[in-house]
Amino acid sequence: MADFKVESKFSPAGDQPTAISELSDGLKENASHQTLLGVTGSGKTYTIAKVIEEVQKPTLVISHNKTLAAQLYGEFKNLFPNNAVEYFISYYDYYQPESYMPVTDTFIEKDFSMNEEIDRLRLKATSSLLQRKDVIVVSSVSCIYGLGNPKEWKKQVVHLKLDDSISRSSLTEYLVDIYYQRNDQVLESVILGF
Amino acid sequence: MIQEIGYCSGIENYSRYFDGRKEGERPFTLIDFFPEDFLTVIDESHVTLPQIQAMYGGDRKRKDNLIDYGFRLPSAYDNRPLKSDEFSTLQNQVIYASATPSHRELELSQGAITELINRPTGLVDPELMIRPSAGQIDDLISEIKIRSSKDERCLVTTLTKKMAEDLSEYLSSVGLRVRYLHSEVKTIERVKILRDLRLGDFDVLVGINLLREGLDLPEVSLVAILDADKEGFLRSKSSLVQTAGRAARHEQGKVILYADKITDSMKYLIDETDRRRKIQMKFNKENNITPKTVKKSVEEIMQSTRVAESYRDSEIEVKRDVATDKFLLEDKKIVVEMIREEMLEAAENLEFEKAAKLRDEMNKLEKEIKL
Repeated sequence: MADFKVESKFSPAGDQPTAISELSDGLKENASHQTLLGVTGSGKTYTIAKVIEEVQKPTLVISHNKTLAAQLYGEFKNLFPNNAVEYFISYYDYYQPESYMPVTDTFIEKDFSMNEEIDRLRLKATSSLLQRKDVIVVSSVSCIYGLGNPKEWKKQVVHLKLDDSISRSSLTEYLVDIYYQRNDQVLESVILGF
Repeated sequence: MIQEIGYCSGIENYSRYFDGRKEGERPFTLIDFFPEDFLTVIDESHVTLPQIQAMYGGDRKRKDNLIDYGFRLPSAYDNRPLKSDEFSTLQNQVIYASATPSHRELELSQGAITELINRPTGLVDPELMIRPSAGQIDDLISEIKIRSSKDERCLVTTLTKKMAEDLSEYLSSVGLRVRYLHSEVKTIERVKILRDLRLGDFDVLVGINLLREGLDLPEVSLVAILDADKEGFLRSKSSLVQTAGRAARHEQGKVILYADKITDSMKYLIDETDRRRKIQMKFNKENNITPKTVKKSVEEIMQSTRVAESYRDSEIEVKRDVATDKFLLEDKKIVVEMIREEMLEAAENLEFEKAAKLRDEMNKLEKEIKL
């Protein structure tokens, strides 16, 4: 199991060394709430990365919009090339929840377009969390919305590691059990092909 | 349906039965996938925390109508985001990160506040100047002219749309190169305007709320705040600090507040700036640091704004008159993107009727493009 390790050509500068040790010490002494007040351009993300490296805890980073979340995800990925940095935002490119407006008597049906790539990244985030400890998930407020029960989720996963051996037919059976469909022509998620 | 084909549309409303949850019990979320000992970092906590708190209320309001008028069963209430207190209970250890943390974070932290005041670049916070509103426009013009002659840029923020319009018109009539950024300007054009400002196509950007992300412009050496003493959302403590911060990437950065009295928010900004500058200058002196603006080449600026690049030569000011059908194919594609943007924004603001109309319009256009 890899430890969190920051890879960067910079070393902490300005107020960063003090901030890193203050925050890490706080975490080690079980402080439940701390605030990092960083002025524009002071390197908040780098500081947080060094704190994560210091305390070695799986971390959830929450951002209030998708653009900022994507920026943070890119930055953390660069800083932690050997750890699991994951991205968890709503998989809808467009989402219109069903709703009813009594005043005008209008019912609007649920409508959405789903982004498969984001869905894949979400699944990767949850499966990383169930498999390893060196995980950072950068998320939008999507992280407070309903997701399956982790215990049930675990049952719906087929774990495969390098050098495992499994027969083709039992692998197919496992996958079909969790609703994979076989299609040898077109590759998509939830489609099984050989 | 579930037995036959494995799924059923709309069933997510009744997730409670599938999860085996009791009435009113919270849903499982991503947080449940974390082990017990984990860390949460809330970025831009002064915006993110209120957003987390608002999610449950918005969902509940929408469900009220669906359930009251018989479209859904009452158990649909339990397919929902976490309430604020449920979110708090699920936390183990939290770090709030912000340039302007609100009372809530500071209270929760009980004095455990770590500051990053000294930047690795050594840049100090911009100097503040307070000037009377009488004669402010002439004063502003002469300040802008000084910056323009040195190839530096200015941001001017006003309180109302009317004033922003009048001001940019006037500044332009006296020969200044000025543009006006308002809320109806969509993302693509917004990025283009910001890029043109950075490249020096014009010198002054006038707007109302210039705090939105993407406004970290190292070329900006002056931020002028008109009506700084009109206490309110746009002139609150955190608004003033964030606005003044827009000049913090330039070594000559200055902020002018036009005001006839000093409000509490202004006092806070003045004291805070003073405190920071003292610490920063002392630090630079002790460590022999000379602050330097990060100078970006034209290529680097282009790189950072390439979203706008692909639309650079296209006419963006296309009329939204879909019926006349006079657009070129390329224009239509841009219009679709603009409508999509607007639709997402409407959906985010819970204006579902508006979003649905925009969706229909967008689908119609998309069909036309395919023909």
